[in-house]
Amino acid sequence: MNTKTNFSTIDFTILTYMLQSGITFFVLPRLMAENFGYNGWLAIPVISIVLLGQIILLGHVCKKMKRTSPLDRIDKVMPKVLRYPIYIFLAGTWAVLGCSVGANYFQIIQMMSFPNTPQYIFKGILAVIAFFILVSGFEGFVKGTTVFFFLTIWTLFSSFVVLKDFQFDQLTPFIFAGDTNFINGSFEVLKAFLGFELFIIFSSYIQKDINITKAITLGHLFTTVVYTFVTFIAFGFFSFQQLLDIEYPVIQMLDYVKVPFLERIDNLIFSFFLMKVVVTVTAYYWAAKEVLQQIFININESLLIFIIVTGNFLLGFMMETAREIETVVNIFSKLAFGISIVLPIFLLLIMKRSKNQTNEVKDHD
Amino acid sequence: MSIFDFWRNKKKTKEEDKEQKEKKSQDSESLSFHHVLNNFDNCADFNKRTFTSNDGFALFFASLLNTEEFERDVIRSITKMDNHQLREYLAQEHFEEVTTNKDMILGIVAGSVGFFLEGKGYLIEMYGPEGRSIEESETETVITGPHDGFVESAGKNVSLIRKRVRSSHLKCEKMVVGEVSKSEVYFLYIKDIANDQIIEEMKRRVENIETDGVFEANTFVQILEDSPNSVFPQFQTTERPDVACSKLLAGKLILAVDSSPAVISAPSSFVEFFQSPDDYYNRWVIGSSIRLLRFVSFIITILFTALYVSATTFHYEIIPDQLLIPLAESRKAVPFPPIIEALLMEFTIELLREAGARLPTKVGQTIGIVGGIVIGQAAVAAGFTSDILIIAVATSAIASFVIPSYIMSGSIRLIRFGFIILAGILGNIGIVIGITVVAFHLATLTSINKPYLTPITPLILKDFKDVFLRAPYWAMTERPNQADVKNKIRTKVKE
Repeated sequence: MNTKTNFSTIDFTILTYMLQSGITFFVLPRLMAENFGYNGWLAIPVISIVLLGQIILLGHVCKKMKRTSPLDRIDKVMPKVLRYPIYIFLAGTWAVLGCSVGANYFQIIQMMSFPNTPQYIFKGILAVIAFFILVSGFEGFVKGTTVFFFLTIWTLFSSFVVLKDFQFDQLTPFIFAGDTNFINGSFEVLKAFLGFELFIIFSSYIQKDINITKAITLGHLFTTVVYTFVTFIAFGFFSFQQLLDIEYPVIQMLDYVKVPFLERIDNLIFSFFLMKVVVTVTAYYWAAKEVLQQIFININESLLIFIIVTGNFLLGFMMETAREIETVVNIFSKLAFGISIVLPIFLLLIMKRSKNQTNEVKDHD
Repeated sequence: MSIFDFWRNKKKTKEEDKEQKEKKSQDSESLSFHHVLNNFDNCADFNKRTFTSNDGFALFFASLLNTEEFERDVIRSITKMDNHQLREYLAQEHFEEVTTNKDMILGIVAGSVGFFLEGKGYLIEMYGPEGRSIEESETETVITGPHDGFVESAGKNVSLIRKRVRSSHLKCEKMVVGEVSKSEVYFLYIKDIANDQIIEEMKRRVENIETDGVFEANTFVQILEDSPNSVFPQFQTTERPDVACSKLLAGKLILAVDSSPAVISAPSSFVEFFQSPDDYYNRWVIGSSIRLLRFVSFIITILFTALYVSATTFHYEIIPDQLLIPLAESRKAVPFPPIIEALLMEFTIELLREAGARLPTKVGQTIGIVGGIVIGQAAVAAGFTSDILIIAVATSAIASFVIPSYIMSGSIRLIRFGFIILAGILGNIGIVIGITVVAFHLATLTSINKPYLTPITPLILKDFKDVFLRAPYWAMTERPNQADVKNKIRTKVKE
């Protein structure tokens, strides 16, 4: 009996959103204020539209690949000596990025509520969850992501509660004024949108009737709306100077949320972000596993997953302080962003070359 | 046990196996009166009847027969017949001629009367032991709607379904399960609606069961499930014919197990366990509100006590000032940390529930009063627990009973303990870790290979009409997608 689940485009739209929205969400208003100055929130939709071009390119490559693995295509055209270092670079970048995202999240959790609890306990729990998700396969991962989406999406509504303290005066009539650094700021926004590039690895697991470009685009637009909305509220809720001074403006904003039986639920809401972190970390580990499988062909899949997860858990011991984690996140997200541009172009070139070769053979015949 | 005992036992087992094999081969051999009779030695309820006017014999279990009907319709006539007349009588179509010992034995244990005449064997079905009359189900009560419930006879249960679904497309296939019990299992489905692959898969699973006996649907479910180690039931069971019929019309398969008052519906989804027939018999707004209440109850059951533990252990800041002072006052005299306090109270509530369920109704009520009022109040007065925790624990317990499925309610009550422990160790993040694990587990479960958490994942927006809310009937024109039905439109069943 066919046990394959029939997913729809919306499942992958949700996956895109869950992959993109992460911890940066909590610092985004500060980053926008620091790099784009007054009304910096306006830069988010602008950069998002620019990024759409890259998404269309990625979708085009996925379509051209016709649900075949991009790594199999690379295998066909490159000798081991050349491709293995590339694979190790890809797997390393994605795995370390996933690990640093988890470390970043738990560093904030530790700062908020558990200053005396060692981080390795949290990281260990994350490793165990990630292991079981990875072992359940791609179907389980996508299904889990959709459930996590529904379990976290309500947290957005908490932003509406602070609307009553929103002041248009705080927005000021200036646009992008003050000390600005557009290049660094653009990169910070791009970092916030990272995650969609993994679809190039996922594409071979996605049903043929799913329009990947549509799914990623819709998910990306949804993330853009969420980022823009929350950052806009933060710009109207805090003064510009406050935004520059507060480390995590969105968490601070949630501090004001009150319901009859509970108040200061920032901690509770931030805890729910664990699910998004789990999705991001698992996705990057998955991508790393896919690449490493091309090198270690005979190794059992579960063992490989165990090695990746354990390796990253141990790597987590090297990232303890906020500064260390931030440095690693910055370096590896830059690398991941580079991969998100280079890999699709490289695959396009490979496909074009092999098409030309096929045509030549046909002409010759 | 010494090695010699082991060797002796092994030898003995081998001999027993050999004997059993020989017996089996004899069973399938051509019919022998003495062999059949020997099979039933030491059976006090077994009857052998001889007749003075002819050479016939009747073998039967009186306890399995409708004796009145048997005496009136069969015995009275046979006692007056000679061999020739009896031969002609047994050739009638309601007698089935059997040629092997095995068929004769199986027929007799299933409630037929076996006749022997001149070396030939015949069976006539006379099954009719007295059973419970049709009554309302005690575990699935409704306020409005039909009040008849299934009984311990699969035949009667099938008739209750057929009475409601008067269609030739309602198919009923029979299989026998249990090496010893030989229990009958009926597969009911509506041809042209139900998915053939699901039916075939279920048949395959039933055929592959090698067990000595099956007596109850909820036991059978645990053998058939996709993930038997999961705490969540993956097939819904119901004691209500109206529910079974609605499942059939939704394209699902119904399994009726003999001697069980519950039937199994497959595939099932997690949300189905929160649905009650009352949702459909009420106006849709009322039905939807009650259903929403159940989902809220589910959240209260698993999270209320856990949140109390988390807040009082790690996150006092989330409690508003007005509530914080009374809470601190009530916890002042409690000598235990919140996690121990909560686990003690939850454990007591479970004790009361279990005691109430096992005792006769009147004593059960006394237990409720003693437990609820005396222990509850005394525990607070003695400084064993805070009164706010009593409120949390009692609300969680009541909320757990709002869930219509008793089996699901039990599962949810159990995972609640996990949440309390996680909250006591890691506070809010512990609770979220618990939710993540449970949610992911639910997302990956399947019911006969179909997603268990449908329509939430994979996301099917159309099917949300009957999940958290019960949409008006004019809006529910299509069958849900989970069963992968052949005919999606509810109004086009061919007759």
